[in-house]
Amino acid sequence: MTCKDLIEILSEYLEETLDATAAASLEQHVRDCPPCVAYLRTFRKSRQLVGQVGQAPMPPELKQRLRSFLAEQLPGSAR
Amino acid sequence: MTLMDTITVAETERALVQQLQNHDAAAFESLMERYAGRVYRLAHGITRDTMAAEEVVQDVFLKLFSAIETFEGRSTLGTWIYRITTNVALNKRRGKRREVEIALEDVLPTFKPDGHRDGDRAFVLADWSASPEVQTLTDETCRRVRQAIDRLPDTYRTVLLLRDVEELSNEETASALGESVASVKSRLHRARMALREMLTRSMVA
Repeated sequence: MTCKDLIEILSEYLEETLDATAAASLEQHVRDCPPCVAYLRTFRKSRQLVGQVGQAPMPPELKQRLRSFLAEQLPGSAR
Repeated sequence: MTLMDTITVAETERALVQQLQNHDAAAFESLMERYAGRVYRLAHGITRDTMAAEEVVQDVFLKLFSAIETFEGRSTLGTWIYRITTNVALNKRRGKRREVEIALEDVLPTFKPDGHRDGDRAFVLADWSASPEVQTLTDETCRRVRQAIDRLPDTYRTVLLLRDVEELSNEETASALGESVASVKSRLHRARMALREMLTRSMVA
């Protein structure tokens, strides 16, 4: 397995959808390849950061405005 | 989730849809409570603009209420809502995207003929995953991540948001986007690689 091969299957590896043989080859490669260790760690962390930073809570006043807006637009249904 | 849980969720949803189709006010309220936050988050992720996201939320709920009678349950209610949100938000974002988007090919890893990664040694070995700034999620780290997400082309960004923020499965994402699972998997992986590359460039600069 080359570094290129490893990177191509990294999402599947992290999601644990890779078959056991491919996963074992990947792990074997990582043991001997510092650049791939760095790639694996930063790839995994990037994914976590997207999940953390992507959390945009809805402002409470917006929910109230939405309620009023829908009550105006949809009389009889959203009141 | 156990099979019983899945059945219960499906039954609860079927009952909610039926109440919505009967114009039950409490059901509309319940729909808003359950989905408004998620719709806002995805709309904000796609438009990157608070006002535009608010307009998207309003448009989405108007569409939901007017189209609920045509909902046949071929997808889950949640997937249907994500599909409507994605379409409305992407329409809202159109015109703005060329200002910030990059060509994905410019931020994908490149390789030598022997399969090793291309680039100088310091870059290839750069591991910022445990740096204090990243671990404590400083404002600067958040800004870098947002900027990197924002620079992804829409089609890649949307998949990334649905999978890694909304935590939909590949199948649910494919259903929300009307695409094949294979296409979702491929775009998701390319989006993640591009994001990692952009973050690494910005972290080691």
